[in-house]
Amino acid sequence: MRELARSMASFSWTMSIFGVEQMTNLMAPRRAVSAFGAVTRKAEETLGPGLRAAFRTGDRLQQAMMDLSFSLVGLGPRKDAPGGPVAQAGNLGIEILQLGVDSASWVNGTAWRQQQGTQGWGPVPPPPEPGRPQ
Amino acid sequence: MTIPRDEIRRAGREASAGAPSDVDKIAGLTRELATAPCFPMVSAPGPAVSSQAVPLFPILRDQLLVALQVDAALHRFDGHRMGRVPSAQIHGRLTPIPDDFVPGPGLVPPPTLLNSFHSQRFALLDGRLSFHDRKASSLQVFGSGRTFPVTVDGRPALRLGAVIDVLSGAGDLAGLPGETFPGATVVLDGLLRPPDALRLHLVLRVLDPAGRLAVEEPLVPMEPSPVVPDPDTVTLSLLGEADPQRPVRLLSGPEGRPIGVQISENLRLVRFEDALGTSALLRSRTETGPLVGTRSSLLYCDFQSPGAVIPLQTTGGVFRLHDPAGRSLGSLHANLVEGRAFRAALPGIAAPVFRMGAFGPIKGGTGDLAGISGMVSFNAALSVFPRAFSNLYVLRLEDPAGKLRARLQASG
Repeated sequence: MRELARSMASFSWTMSIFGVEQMTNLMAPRRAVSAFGAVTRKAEETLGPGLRAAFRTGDRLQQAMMDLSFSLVGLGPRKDAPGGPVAQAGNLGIEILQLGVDSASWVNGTAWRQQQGTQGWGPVPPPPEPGRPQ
Repeated sequence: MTIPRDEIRRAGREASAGAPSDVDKIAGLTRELATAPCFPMVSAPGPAVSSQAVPLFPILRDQLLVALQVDAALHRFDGHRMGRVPSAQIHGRLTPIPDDFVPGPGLVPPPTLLNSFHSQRFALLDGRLSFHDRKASSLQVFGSGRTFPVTVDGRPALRLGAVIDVLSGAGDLAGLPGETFPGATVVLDGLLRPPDALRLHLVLRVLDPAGRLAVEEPLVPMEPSPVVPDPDTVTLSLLGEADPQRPVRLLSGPEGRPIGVQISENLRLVRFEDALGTSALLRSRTETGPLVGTRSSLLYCDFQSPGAVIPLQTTGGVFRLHDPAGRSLGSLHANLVEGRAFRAALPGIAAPVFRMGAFGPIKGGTGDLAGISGMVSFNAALSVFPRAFSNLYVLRLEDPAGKLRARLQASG
């Protein structure tokens, strides 16, 4: 019990300091993006398969809403481009429907039973730091 | 199989020493990889492509699709025209999959809605490629790819790219993968106008160390169809070969572990003939043309991964193209955003050879190629030790006004 309380306190303190660090990174948004991304990925790795699927769906939905919001205030691609406001509204609609499909599979338990296939056919990881030629 | 680190250091020293035996071995291996038989194919436009959209619920008909059942006739493709008669048939189920899903043969992915507005991954399930040759050769295949949303005629459409591995073969391809044919890769690119208007281009490349499918003498010329399958697209097939001035270099990670290679290569025009449509034989001939450019990129692939399938990608990919007389056409920026490498064992080569397939969208260009969009697909074989490779790039360049085609014809 004591260990749990201690680790929760460490977590809260880490999050506070992390927030301060990212406030200072606002002048270098790429660094902040990278830091938030790294923490998000690590947190996601601790989730079980069912909750991970729920997390992914919610995350995509949030991102679709964010993209649409930016497009509507003129900060997205041009209107007729594949990523314009119309496409982003369409994307948001599909993501909302996908949330319904995922919720159904979460409720009936198939999300938890989902098998994974052959290693190597998964998503391509982001490129590593620039390499050093030999 | 993991390559021992000592072997990497030793091989690296030997490669840099450039002993004559290594030079011969590299030249022989390069020839062997470069003449791997290739079969470029295209689906015919119109009713010959019989693909069927699969909705989430049957009542939805063409809405909320979760798959596309593909059953398309394929014709030989020479870069502009296609053969009059079909030479193969592809069957399979293209199924969108979640971004973090790891697909596999026979594995049903969670229901995922096809999204015409966002790039998505997909898997090709229950894939089969059947050839119309005398031995009724066929391949069981499995692969995965990605969609790229585009606008065509004012409507959302999806460009497709996929890497497909051959699981087994029959007829003239029996025993694949094995000693006779250590492996074969199919790279697919296409265009899907939902719900089910599908255009596919495929390139099958087979490792054939015994030379069972490769021929050197000219084959009976293709009888072309009056239908041009892609009148608004210029297709360039380019074979990458080592640039003697800039040898392939290994890229190391923070702990000295190889994480990829830096490749600078010269690009040569290449065309492939096959005897499927004319003699009903599964035979291929490779004919290389003049040098027409260079490509440089960093190819990231964990060659030491113990897995049979290894993800790959490139960064900093640039094609610099010129005409046969050396006059610059401009450059194209295109990375292979998603690819896979597969281990293969070639006779006489101790370390594994890697078959590779990948694809990516063209992200702009300069000179005569400014504003060009399209796709690049990559079907290659690479040996890390000794360092030798044969990289086949197929550039599919959108050219609705015909300007690029006219420029290329004018320059020969």
